[in-house]
Amino acid sequence: MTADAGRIGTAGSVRAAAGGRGRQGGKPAWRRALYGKARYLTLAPATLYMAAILGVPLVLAIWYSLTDINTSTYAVRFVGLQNFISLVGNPAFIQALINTAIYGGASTVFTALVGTAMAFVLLPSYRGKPVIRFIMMLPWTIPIPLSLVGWQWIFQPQFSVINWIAQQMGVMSSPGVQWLGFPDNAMASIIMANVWHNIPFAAIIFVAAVIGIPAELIEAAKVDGAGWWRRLTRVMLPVAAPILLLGLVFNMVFNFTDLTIVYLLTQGGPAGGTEILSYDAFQVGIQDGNLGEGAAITLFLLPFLAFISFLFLRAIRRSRLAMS
Amino acid sequence: MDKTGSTTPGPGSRPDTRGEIRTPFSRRKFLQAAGGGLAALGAAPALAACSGGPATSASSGGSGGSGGKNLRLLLWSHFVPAFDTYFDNYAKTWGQKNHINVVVNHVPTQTVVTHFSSEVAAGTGHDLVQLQADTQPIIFAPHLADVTDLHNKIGSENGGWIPLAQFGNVNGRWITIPEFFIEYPGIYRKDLFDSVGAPAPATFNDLITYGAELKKKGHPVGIGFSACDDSENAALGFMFAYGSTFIGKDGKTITFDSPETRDALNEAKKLYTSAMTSEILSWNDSSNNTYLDSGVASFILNPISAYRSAPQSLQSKCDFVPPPAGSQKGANTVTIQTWVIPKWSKAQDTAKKFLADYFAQYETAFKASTGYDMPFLNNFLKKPMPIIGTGKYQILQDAASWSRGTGWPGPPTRQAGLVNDKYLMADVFAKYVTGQMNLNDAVSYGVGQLKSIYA
Repeated sequence: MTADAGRIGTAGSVRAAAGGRGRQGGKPAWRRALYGKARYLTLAPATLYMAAILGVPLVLAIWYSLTDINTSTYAVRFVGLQNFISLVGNPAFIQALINTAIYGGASTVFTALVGTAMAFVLLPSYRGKPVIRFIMMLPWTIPIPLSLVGWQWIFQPQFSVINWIAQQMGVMSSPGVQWLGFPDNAMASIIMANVWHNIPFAAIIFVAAVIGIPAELIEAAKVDGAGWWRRLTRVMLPVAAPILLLGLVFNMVFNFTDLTIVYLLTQGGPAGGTEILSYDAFQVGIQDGNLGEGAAITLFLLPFLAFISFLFLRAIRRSRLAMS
Repeated sequence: MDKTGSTTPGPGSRPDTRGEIRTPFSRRKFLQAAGGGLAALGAAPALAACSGGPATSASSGGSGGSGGKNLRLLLWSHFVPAFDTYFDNYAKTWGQKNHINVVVNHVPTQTVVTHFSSEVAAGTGHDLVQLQADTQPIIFAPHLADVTDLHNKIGSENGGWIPLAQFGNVNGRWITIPEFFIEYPGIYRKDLFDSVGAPAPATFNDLITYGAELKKKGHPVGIGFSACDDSENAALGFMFAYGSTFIGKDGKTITFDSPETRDALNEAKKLYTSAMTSEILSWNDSSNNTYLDSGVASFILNPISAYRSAPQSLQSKCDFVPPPAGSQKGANTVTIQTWVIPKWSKAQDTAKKFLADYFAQYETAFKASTGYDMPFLNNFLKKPMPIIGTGKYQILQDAASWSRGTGWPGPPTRQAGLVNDKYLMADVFAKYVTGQMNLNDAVSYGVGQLKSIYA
């Protein structure tokens, strides 16, 4: 917008009404309107779509969580926060909450670290890079259930390929590690499978962020004598921060709400050691038909995830403002 | 981004003659690629529909609907593949004979309830659904049609229903037609037990005593304490064998904290430490099958599918026994398959006729299951039963006497179903036998969880 945009009838106001394009001569009213407040109407279809796809289920879930609605009766009673209160008093739910924090947090951290390391394999140009890139992308492109069939065999108590190799190398005694047989082992195993699946996503985000960094910044840092680590931490990461943080938000939300890996690998066992909130909600809400309690379990993490996402997005915005 | 749609400099960029930076990837190319990808995604479902899609068979072309001339069935993919072949052919033939377009959808086991839940939420879907537990009709009761007339008809024509089939009556109306249950006998290696001078294991004490010797020889006992149905059934088998239950006959009184429960837990711990290995803690429903078929296991508790999938040379060494006894007669809970007709179906009469005709020739269905599907009707349980009436299978004919419903001795309620779905009993047993909790803490934990479920 130009400085004289506010004055009616001036060339500046015409330019302002036309979106600041600076064209000379009058414009039809419909074009001025299009670039005026009516442009918000063009957002309406997407907004309505988002409201329908995201908003309606969210509002419905919140309503369900405040009632005793279940599939075995048509009668519905408003119970307020009773579903949430009963969850907090349940040791199994608290354990599931702790398990979710461990699973989600560890998966996010390891995915970010290993993904970043993998990105440095994808950044430079070298012969065979397309093949390497294809192989590295496979974990992300293979459907999760299919890859988990492989992981099931890797963790199989009798025929684990890891155990067999380790035993052949003489570094493990028979019968070997029970990957899914003890709570700690099982948690580590599902984190491993989850991180393996998500590493390519993290790597791609990092690569996309880094290639957007102006080359002259890197060159200037080199000229100033900055080593690899200083270039990474003082130049690349701060400049790429907006994209990296966005990727981190997506990855975190995905890890904290994932159901598939636990459902297919451990079913929450052994002894509740990998029971996480999403699987608990599935058991209670879908298998048991207790929609109210299931919705309460599902929504339990919503404030936390929303707050964390808000912090990340604010950091992104500040980072972009600082760069501009 | 400049006027040509170029992005900021990056790998592969090259300056053009105007001094602007062009990249090999422009906005036009991006939109072309995205459009092509979306077109491919959109074509995929259409192509799948033309090919009939996975896990679906149809008696005639087309997807069918839910009007009177159409009948859509939803059921699991049977563990005996030949049964699905038989059932699909039967449905097709029945459809042709009755001028009904029958579509049969098979889905992986344990996902039937997930599919049906979404149909309940939508208020539309299949006309005839085979649920996989005696508690599931109760969970969805308001959405199920009254089949009292059909239930009585089938029962009266076939010698009546056995006690295990007495579920699914809500306020005097029957809402489900039970088809079969899957028994859980003990399957043991007769050659291994003979080698240590042991008789056929009849009690858990036999398994503890002789299992310890066999474990030293590399053939431990295989009873899971893990998050799967087989393990939950096994844990309940331990409890029933020592007179323990988690709920009373009224289906509401929690009875888990008892001396009998402590006896069951202690015996389970003895068995685990002396005759089993830690791998049973990570088992899924196929693990005990694998354990037996690998030649390692000396004893498992499992349907006969584990035996059937074993090599012929191993089958000749195996035999069947009822579930082990303790201070009480052995028993365990079983998997139950039962038909329901949703209220939204416009083909309820057609669905009832299908079931009536299907049960009229049920002996054929039983044979097609190769003895896997144990009937609920007395006429089909008369000895000698087809296939399992001779040889080592004979003891399976008495399976109804040692099989219990969910929530036994109480009725199969939604809460009992959740105990089963959360593998709560197996969880308690696992926590105690591995030493994560002492006896009192394990019992208290179980009671606490039961209270939260039955609250």
